[in-house]
Amino acid sequence: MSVNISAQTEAPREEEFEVSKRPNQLRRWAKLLLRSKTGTIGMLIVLSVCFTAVFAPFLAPYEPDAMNAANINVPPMWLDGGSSAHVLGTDSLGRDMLSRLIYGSQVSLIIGVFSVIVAGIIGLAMGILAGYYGKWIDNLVMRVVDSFLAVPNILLILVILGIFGSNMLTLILVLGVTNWVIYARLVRSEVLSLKERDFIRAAKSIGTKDSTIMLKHILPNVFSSFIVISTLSVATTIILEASLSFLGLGIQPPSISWGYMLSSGRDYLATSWWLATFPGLAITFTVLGIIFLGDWLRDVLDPRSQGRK
Amino acid sequence: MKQEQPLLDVRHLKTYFHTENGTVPSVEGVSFQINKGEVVAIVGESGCGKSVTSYSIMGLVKSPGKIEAGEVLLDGTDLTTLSKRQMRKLRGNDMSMIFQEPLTSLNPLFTVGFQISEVIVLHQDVTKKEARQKTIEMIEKVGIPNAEKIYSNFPHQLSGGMRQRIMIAIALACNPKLLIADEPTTALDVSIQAQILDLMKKLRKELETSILIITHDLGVVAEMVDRVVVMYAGKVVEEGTVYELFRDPKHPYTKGLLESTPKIHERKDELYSIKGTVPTPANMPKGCSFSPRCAFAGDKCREQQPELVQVNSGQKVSCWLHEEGEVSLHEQKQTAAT
Amino acid sequence: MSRNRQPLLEIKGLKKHFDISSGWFSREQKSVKAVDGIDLKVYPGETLGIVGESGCGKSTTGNTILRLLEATEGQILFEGEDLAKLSNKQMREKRKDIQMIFQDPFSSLNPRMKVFDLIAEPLRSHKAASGRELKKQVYELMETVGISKSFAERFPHEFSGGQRQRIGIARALALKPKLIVCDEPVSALDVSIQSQILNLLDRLQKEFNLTYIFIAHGLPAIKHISDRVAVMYLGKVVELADRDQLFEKPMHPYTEGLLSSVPIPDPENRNNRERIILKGDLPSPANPPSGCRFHTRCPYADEKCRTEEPAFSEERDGHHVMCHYPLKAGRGVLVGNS
Repeated sequence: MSVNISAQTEAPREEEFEVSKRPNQLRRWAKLLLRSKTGTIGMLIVLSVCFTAVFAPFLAPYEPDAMNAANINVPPMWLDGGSSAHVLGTDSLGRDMLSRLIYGSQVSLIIGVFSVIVAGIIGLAMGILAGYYGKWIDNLVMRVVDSFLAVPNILLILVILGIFGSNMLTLILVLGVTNWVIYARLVRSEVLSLKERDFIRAAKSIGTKDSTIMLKHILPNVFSSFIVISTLSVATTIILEASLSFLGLGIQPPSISWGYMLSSGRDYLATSWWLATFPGLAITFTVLGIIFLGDWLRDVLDPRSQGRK
Repeated sequence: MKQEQPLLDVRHLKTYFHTENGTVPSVEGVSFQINKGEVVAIVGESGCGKSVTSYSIMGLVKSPGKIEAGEVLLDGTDLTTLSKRQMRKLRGNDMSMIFQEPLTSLNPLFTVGFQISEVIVLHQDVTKKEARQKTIEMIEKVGIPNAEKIYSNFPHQLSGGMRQRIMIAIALACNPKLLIADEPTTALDVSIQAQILDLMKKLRKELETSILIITHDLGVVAEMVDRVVVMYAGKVVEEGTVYELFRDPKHPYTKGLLESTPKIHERKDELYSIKGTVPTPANMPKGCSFSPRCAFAGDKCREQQPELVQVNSGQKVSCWLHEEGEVSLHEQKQTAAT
Repeated sequence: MSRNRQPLLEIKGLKKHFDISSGWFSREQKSVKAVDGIDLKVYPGETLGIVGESGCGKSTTGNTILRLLEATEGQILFEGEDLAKLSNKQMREKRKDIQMIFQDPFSSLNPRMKVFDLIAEPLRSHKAASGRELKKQVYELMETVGISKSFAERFPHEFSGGQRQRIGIARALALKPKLIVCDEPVSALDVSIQSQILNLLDRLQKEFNLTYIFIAHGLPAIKHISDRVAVMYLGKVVELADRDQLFEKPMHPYTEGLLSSVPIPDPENRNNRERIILKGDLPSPANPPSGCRFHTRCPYADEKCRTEEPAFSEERDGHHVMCHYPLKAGRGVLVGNS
């Protein structure tokens, strides 16, 4: 047999490395999603709610505030007295419930998503600064966080809304500003453990600037857990908005949100139960969908699960 | 040595891991024996399947891993056919295991005394008092002074070396026939490692336990082992007595391992090194799995998988170079040079 | 050998204490004296090995030199300039000349950066190259450490340990430093990969005229790569000598014990090797023993050792030792030493 000994003791300069093949990223995600039942359901619900919100004008059979005095409190079509003209019935002013629900998804989603973005940006920045620099910055930020946590959120929101009044923008800002502490705490603790990882020390040792370390090394590594928490808190924010509307401090007419519909339907519970039930169901399903999606994201984005492939 | 039945007889063991991305054959047809009172080492680099082999013997392979084929005969009983309950009875009593990291393998919430006596109470018909007495004896046996005091200590109060001693005490509490030690000294400091090796040598003589050591450290092997099994990519590539294997390694991989280890009593300008890296299961080469890294590989090596064959009284090797019996690498080299 | 030259790095009286608060009501301020007053010189072109067991302060020393930890006390003179006194900005500049290779190739690379960006990072941070030039330099570095250019767009988790360590080395080399602190660069790697990396470090030293501080707990690796070796024990350097002096005629009982503890891959001589096994455990650096720190484990200790701390003195040419009774003749601890 042929024997080759020439290369034996020489240190290999260029090696033939065997590196595992990389699957197509999009395919990989689709595969991961389909593997999880709840994840798939969550994704479907969230996608359909988003679709509804975006294409509301095309989907809704009526204008959401078109009143019709002739058709007051019509029950859903499958009940006695219902008509196929109003699939989910009408409210006390004769407005089509289905159309209102469809338009309501816009407000609920916008408030949910944007207030989370506001909270997330503040929380990420504060958490990273506090965790990375430590010392007095950390102390300061964490004491502010503590004092936010010491005051019941809802009380704070009520006070602020009471002073500034309630519209879409203030709602987003208020919900954002009161919720950033969750992110700050999470991000800070992640940063504290990241800071001990060798690659942060390695980056320092080659003379990388602090700002670069925070943006390029820390931010991408806290991002996955950040995404998971934000998904879940879109859900809680939607509920919070609904509660505020229920208290009369949420979104004001003529805008419609599911929470507002729920609260205005409460007076007719005995006679026209569908007025409160459908917005309630819409909130429940959307929130469940988002939570399913969030749980799935947590499983997938957990770096420990990536090794498992 | 051959006439009596071996204590442990592993035959064509195959353990596969069924992951979402396909099947990983961690152990691919491993066979070896351990005689009574013998110390055998499985040597290999990370991912060669040596730890999975030991877990397979203990019946501790976790899902998605599964023993696909083969037999593990302990005193003639095939362990792979036993029920979970029967296995539990065996573990700790007939065979036991010590792990690499003594801190994580002890429960932090219980005293070390309790953890040792737990094993004794589980497997032997003794009173609490007797168990305590036996525990203290065990603590003394593994070379810890003040056994009474140590009995009520918690794992975190002890140093790494002491914890490993406690692990050994737990493992040997019921005087098992077989002790499996998975990298028992890797996590320890050099001077503590020497103490533990010394202790294991002493206990081995005293208790006549057979020991299977899983390690990557050839120094540890040379210190206390009778026979060596070298694994590479899930297969046994060479097996022999420790003297033969170190004096005249047959397989190019064994030879490479021995030569690439820097030695404290000699000095070389450049270390021998095996080129390349261990193949991953996804790109396992055709033929001999070592062929891409082997300086002697020929066409046949790249095409066909060699069998493990006996080359002399105490040595087996799986390499085409030794297909027709005894040809040493040295001779091979010379013929190539001319 | 090089004692007449200017040292590249000189450490004077370096101390690093970590405070541990002991509860709300205790006034007592306790501290772990990880490094407790060490003096070392590193000459251009040499490799200074620092060896010791866990908790001896070897890694802390390495980190303090790069100011990844701030020194509690003492001077770190690099080309005559005290690094401890530099502002953060000045220090960042200096890091061009002093680089580090880390132990764990799995955690020292940002898992979310591609190989190209990882190697380009030091060049970008110091604006040393950009655009085409950057590309050229990164590819050159990859070739130098033996990683194919085609892997530039891969992520670290797609590589094996040895390959990742090569990436780490390429990063350290990028800015053409004068001094590289290697903090246990091979201890997380497999045997056959260790020798590849050691050979690579050797080659790079010659090629780029590098100076190394090589920190490790493995004596064989230290012996292979170092010109001079410092042995640390509980925050102090207890012995410092040329490599051959230290390994053949150790003067400190700790060094002697340490050398004797290393398992030698030579089964033939295992039974006639006289070993000095250090008894006991490593004391905690939070509470080091009085007098000579080693006296609790030293086979030769007497009253003087228990009370009086020995000085670090030069016994022979360039051979420093911190012991009241340095071992006179090397007693041939390494049997089988030819």
